[in-house]
Amino acid sequence: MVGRGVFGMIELVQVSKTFNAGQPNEYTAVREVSFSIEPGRVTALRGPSGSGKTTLLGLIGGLTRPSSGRVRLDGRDISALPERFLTELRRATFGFVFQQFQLIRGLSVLENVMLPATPTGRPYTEVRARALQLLADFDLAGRAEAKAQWLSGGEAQRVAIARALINDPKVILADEPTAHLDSVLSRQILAIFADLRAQGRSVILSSHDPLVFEFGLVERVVEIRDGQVTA
Amino acid sequence: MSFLHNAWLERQRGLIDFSVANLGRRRGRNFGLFLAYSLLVFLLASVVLYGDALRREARLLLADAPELVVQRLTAGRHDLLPAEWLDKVTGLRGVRAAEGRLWGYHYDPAAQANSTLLVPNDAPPAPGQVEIGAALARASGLAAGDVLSLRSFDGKPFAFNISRVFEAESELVSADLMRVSATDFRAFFGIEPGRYTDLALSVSNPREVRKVAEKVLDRLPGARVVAREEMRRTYEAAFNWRQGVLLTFLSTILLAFALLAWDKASGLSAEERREIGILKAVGWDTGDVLRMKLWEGALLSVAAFLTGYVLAWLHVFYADAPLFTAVLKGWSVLYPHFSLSPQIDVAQIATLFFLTVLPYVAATIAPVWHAATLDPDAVMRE
Amino acid sequence: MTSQRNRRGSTLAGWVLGMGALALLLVLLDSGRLAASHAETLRQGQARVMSDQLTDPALFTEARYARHASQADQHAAFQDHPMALEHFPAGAMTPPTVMPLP
Ligand SMILES: Nc1ncnc2c1ncn2[C@@H]1O[C@H](COP(=O)(O)OP(=O)(O)OP(=O)(O)O)[C@@H](O)[C@H]1O
Ligand SMILES: [Mg+2]
Repeated sequence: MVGRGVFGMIELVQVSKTFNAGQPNEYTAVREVSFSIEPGRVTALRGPSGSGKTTLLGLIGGLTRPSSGRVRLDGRDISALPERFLTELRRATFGFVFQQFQLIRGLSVLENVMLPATPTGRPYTEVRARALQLLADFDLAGRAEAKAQWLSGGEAQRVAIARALINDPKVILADEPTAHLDSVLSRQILAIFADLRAQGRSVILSSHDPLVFEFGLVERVVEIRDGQVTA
Repeated sequence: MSFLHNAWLERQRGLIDFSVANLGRRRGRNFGLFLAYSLLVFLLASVVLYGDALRREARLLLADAPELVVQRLTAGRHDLLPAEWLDKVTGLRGVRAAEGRLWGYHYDPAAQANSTLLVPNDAPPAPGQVEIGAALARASGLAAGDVLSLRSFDGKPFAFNISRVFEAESELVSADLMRVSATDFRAFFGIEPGRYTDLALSVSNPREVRKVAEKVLDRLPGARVVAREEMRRTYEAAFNWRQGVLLTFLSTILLAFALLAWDKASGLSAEERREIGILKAVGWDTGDVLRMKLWEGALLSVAAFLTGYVLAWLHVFYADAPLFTAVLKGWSVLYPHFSLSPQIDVAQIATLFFLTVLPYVAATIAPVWHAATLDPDAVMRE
Repeated sequence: MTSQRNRRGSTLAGWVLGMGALALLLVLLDSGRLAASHAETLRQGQARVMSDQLTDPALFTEARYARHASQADQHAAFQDHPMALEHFPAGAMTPPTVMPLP
C-alpha cells in the first residue's frame, strides 16, 4: 500500500530559495537548481556546511516553498499547492528524519511515532500495531513507553526513522542522519536505509560524512556548493 | 477493521489523545489552572444560583401578602391610626376586606435581639400565651411550655406561656415573630383600644389596586399606601443589590483569573512553539494544530466548569450557602435557617458557560494561530 | 507484540466529560426532586404569610428600620436599590421605581 499512485519521481526546475527577501539580511541559499531524482534509489546531497543541503531537502519535501522555480512530484507541480493539499501530499508521500531528531519531550516513544498518523484518521489499533512493529524492527520494542527525552542519540535517531515510516511513505528524506552518531551506530542506521531501499522506497539524504559514501549504499550523489549543483 | 470506522471521528480522537497527553505533560500548571478556574465558576455559579433562588422564594412567599397596607403619617413619621380609618375604608368600592393590624418591635437587651410582636387576626393566642418563631426559640433557648419573661413599655415584668414554636418550614418569614393576643399587645406596649399600627386591605379585583389606592388616599389624606407590588419590588431590589455587590466583588477575581489564564495560555513558550513546528513538519495542517489546542482548552475549561457548577449546587442547596449567609445576616442575632429550591434555567447555565469557557478557549487559541500558520521548515534547523 | 495497556487519552477525556455530564444531569434531576420536596415548605411559609398578614421575610432582623423594608418610606434612609451606591437615598443614581400615586 505504498503511497497511492505515487511513484516518487522528483524534478526540480530552476528552483531558487531566498530568505528574508527585500531585507538587508537577504540571503539566497539555493540558486536556480535543476535536477531530478529517480524513484526507488538512494540519493545523497553532498556539500560543505552552509551549502544549502537542508534547504534543498525542505524544498524537495514541500516543507519550504521555493522563491522561484518549480518542484514536481510525478510530473505534478507541488510548489503552488494550497497548504492543506500540500500537507496532505507531504504526509502521504514523504517521511522526514530531521537533523536534530525533533521528538516531542514528555510524550512516549510510541506516541511520538504515531504522531504523523493522527491527521490521516486511520484506525488507532492499526496505527498502533504498525508503530509497535516498526519499533520492534528497530530493536526498540522495550522502549515504547519510554519518554522521548530519556533516549540515547542512537535510539532517538531510530525512533525518528520509525516516525517517518508510520504513514508508509514512498520517499524518505533524512538530513545528516549520522551527524550525531559514532561509526557503529552510523552503520546501523545506514543498514536500515538499505532495508528501506530494498522495500522499494526512495531515500534522499544529505551528508558530508565520508562514512556514508564509503558504505556503498548511495547510488547517486548530488554535489552542492554555495546553493548550486556542481555535479 | 471495524465497518463503522469513520476517518473524521478517528482523527478527532487522535487530536484529543494528543490534547490529553499535552495536559498531562504540564500537569502542575494545568492542575493549578483547573483549580483556579473551578473556584471561579464555583463562586460565580453560587452567587447566581443563590440570588435567583432567594428572589424566587421571596416572590412566591409574599405572593399572598396584603394587597394594600395603609399607614398613617404624622409630621412625616409613621404613627398609630384610629379605628375610624378602618371604618372609612371598609365601605369603599373595590375593597373586599380591611383589617386593623397590630404589630411592633421588641428589643431584648440581654440577647441583643430584635423581635417582631404581632397580633394575628386569624386565630390569635389566648391572653397570657405567646407563639414564637424558631430562630427566637433557638437564640433564647426556650421551647413550648417554657415561660418567656419580658419587660413591658413601663418597665413591668410580663410573663408569657410559650404555647408553641412555629414550624421550621416557615422560618424564612417567621423566625423572629412573637404572636400574642390583642389584649396582651395593647397592655404590653401601652396602646389604647381603638388604635392600630396600620391597615391591611384586600381588593376584589387585583387589577384595580391602583384605583383603590387612589380612593383610599382621597378618603384619608394623611395616609401612605404601600401596594404589594412595591413590597415585591423592594425585595427584588434588595437581592439584586446584594447580588450586584457580590458580582462586582467577583469581577475583580474574574479579572485576576483572566490575567492568569491569559498569561498561562497565551504566552507560548519556545518549547511549545517548537512543538507546533514539529507537528506541522510531520504532516499536521494548521487546522489540526488549532483543533488540538481547542480541545485542550475545551477539556480543561469544560471539566472546570462542570466541577465548579456542581460544587456550587451542593454549596447552595445542600450546605445552605455558608458563604452567603454572612452577607445577608449582617449582625442579626435572629437569623432564619431556611432551604431554597432551585430554578434551573438553561439560559442561566448557558450564560455562565459562555462567560467562563469561551474567553479561556479564545485565550488559548489566539496565540497558537500565529505559530500554527508559520512555515514548518524552521524545524529543520534547530 | 508487547502487552502494553491500550489506554487512550481520548478515552480518559470521554470518561471525565461523561462523568461531568452525568453530574450535570443528576443536578438537573435533583432540581426537580428539590423543588418537589420544597413545595411543602413553601406552602407552610405561604400559609403563615396569609394568616399573619406578613409583608417581609425575616432576613434582616439586625435593626428595626431594616426588618420591614417594604414598609419603609421610599424617601427614608436604608432603602435598597440596585442603582444605589450606598444605603442613603442621596447615594442612588436613579430614584427607586414605585407605583406613582397622587
Ligand atoms: N531562515 C533562514 N534565514 C536566513 N538564512 C538562512 C535561513 N535558513 C538557512 N539560511 C542560510 O542558508 C544557508 C544554507 O543553509 P542550510 O541549512 O541549507 O545549509 P546546510 O548545507 O544544511 O548546512 P549544514 O551542513 O551546516 O547543515 C546558510 O548559510 C544559512 O545561514
Ligand atoms: Mg543542514
